[in-house]
Amino acid sequence: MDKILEKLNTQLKLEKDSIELYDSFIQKIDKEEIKNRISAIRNDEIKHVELVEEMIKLIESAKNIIVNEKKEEQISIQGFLEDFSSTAVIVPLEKYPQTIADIISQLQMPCIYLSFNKMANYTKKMLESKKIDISKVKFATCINGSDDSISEPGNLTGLSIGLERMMKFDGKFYLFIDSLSAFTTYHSIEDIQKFVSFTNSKMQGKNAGVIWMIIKDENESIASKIGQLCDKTIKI
Amino acid sequence: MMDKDNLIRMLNEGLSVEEIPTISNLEELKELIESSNIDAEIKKRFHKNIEQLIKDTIWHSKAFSNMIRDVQNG
Repeated sequence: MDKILEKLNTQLKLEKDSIELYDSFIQKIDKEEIKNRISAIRNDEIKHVELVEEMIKLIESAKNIIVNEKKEEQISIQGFLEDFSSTAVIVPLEKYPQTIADIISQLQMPCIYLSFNKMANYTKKMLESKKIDISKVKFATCINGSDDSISEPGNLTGLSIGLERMMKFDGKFYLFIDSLSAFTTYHSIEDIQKFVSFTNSKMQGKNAGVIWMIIKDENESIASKIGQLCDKTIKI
Repeated sequence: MMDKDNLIRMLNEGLSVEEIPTISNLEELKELIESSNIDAEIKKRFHKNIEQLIKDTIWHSKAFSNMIRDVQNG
């Protein structure tokens, strides 16, 4: 029961923090159309607070709750770098954070984690909350103006150079790309395919590997086209 | 007037909040509820609320991705 209540309180805090964050966005943004779209999301968060509060009341009134936790990993990455190196992982959004955690936790080797369009501190915190060792992970983004940005999102050559500069490891390592789906905002599928092919070859030459995360449903054609360029495709 | 990079950075943060901590916590909560001995009726109620939260969060994530695309291409 304590664990459930803890998760519910975390959820309540996340929802309340989101309202505060989106309110601050609405105040700063001058484009009416974007403001309205964020307001709609903020209004959903207000309803979410009510849903979570309802669940907290329910759990507090329930008695003798036992949780039989059986933690099952959603993905097995066994054979990575021995039998295959370039890997496309196709995952639905709801399974995406846990899949990232499972991969980082199983591989336990130096890694460059490219959080293409998401702020890396959220991923770091999520992994830490799951007690995953991130001491061997170097984080980077393509968010303009962010401290850990290594390239502009629209510049794949710059991105390759930025990643290359970070590849200073003794022994085995891998590149984790989160996520290839986000590349479609800035690049054509043809350019993405060329980048994937080039990066796969480069990493193979270094005896290193690459994990390409692809969010399912977002772009089915990307998933099949990228899968063809990789040694292995894992669908969750 | 806010420049394009700042606006996209803001939208990236919204996307990060929805896709990482929110989805992660909801999925963990769902697993805990499913593996608990909570009364079936209460479990049903929880299931309904959590599924609604997950559905909305996925929609929010798509909405932020679309806004980033629109601002970038606009």
